[in-house]
Amino acid sequence: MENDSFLARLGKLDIRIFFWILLILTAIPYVRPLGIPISISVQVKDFHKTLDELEAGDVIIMEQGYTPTNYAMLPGGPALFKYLTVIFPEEHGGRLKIVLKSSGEVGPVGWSEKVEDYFKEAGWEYGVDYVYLGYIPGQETAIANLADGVNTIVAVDYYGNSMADLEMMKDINDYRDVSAVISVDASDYPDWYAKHWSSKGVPFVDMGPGPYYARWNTLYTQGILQGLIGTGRAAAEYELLLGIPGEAVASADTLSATHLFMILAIILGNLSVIGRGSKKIGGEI
Amino acid sequence: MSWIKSKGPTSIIVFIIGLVVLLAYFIDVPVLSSTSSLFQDWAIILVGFTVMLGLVNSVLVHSKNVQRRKEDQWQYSILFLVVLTIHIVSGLIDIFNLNHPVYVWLSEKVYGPLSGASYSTLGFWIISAGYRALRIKNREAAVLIITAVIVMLGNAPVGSLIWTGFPGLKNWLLDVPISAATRSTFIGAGVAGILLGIRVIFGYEKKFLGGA
Repeated sequence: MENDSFLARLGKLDIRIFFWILLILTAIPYVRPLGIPISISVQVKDFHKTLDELEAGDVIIMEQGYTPTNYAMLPGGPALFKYLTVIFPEEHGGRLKIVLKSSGEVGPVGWSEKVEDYFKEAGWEYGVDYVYLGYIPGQETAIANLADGVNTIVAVDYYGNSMADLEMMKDINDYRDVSAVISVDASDYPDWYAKHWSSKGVPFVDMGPGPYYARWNTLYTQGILQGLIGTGRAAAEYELLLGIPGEAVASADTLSATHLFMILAIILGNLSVIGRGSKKIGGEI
Repeated sequence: MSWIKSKGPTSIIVFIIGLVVLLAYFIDVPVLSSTSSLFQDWAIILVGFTVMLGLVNSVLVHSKNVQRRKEDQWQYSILFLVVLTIHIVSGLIDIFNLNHPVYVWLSEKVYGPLSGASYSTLGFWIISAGYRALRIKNREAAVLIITAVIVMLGNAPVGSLIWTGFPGLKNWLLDVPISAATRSTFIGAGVAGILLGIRVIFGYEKKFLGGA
């Protein structure tokens, strides 16, 4: 290493230095926000518009994938739940009817830990305003069957109540009684909702994590998705659009700092290639 | 009993069910649609059983590790089995509300934070990969890295401060070339899925039956 040029030595730095810098850059903006302005994208505006155009009493199917494994990937979740349970009723003079289900087995954990509290704290009445069907196995098959039988796909809800005993489920038979579908998850479910719900003309919006953004953006550009919150930045945009800045806005500055640092790391790594000359480098990692 | 184990009956069942579900999609006949829905309801129930199957398999694997005192593994297998048992038992005690204190504590105070922690390590892996592996060794690598940098700057709010064109450039990349590539991947996967489905229905694909 003593004979290497300065540029070549840039490629041999201890990786732990980068880990520490990343940790510090992640923490600082939370303590001292930078306040970098964020413009709101058209996907997020369309997401909000699709829900805002609904009326009080309209039925929504919601894919409940906001779970402990996904909290970090779906920072816009709290804003969405607050919008549905508090802001929408205030602005539209009444509540929606929301039927939630989980296609993943961890869905109920997120439901009982966080999501249910949004409804309870806003004074929603279970069985009248909202129903949680729980984890329904079968993934695409279950989502397809749900479109043909919302109140028949399972005999009882998550709490063991019969569908016949739940007041709001009596009038919800199939996709024709549903005004919109919202998917809040970090998996393939939007693909299946697009095939079996959006194809039947039901408006569909998705809140998903960054790694899936390129995939769901293709559905959005084709008009299959009517709105998309697909990244942490989009979640921050949504919070700003609703006027309730929270966790996502707080993490937007961290996004800026860490992205710049990532670009710097790539530049340093490539400068070392120049420093070692144009001969072929055997990939040392 | 040997006829149950033979592949003939299974292939016939697969053919009938596959054909009914496939035809119900294209032909609007009430009997066909209701039969197709029934078959799909059965599939949902069967998938529920596979979760149990995964659980049983995990228990068997870790029990063997403990039994054979597998080096550097058997201690973790014991921990796994103990926590699994406690979680299941505490969940079953309050099966409809899942409010048993032990179950709630394990889910909210252990599983949740551990999941978040394991996801958070991704950032460190990515920075390590960016520094050590993303090298411009040829034209394709150059295109990859430049695209990645543009998307990062377009996504981060600070990118707009550096140059106002980054968000627009990022959107164009995502809406045009990346969408085109993603769609072609989906179309390819879809066509492959159709071919595989036809092979399974008509008995040409036998691997799922346990054969060659």
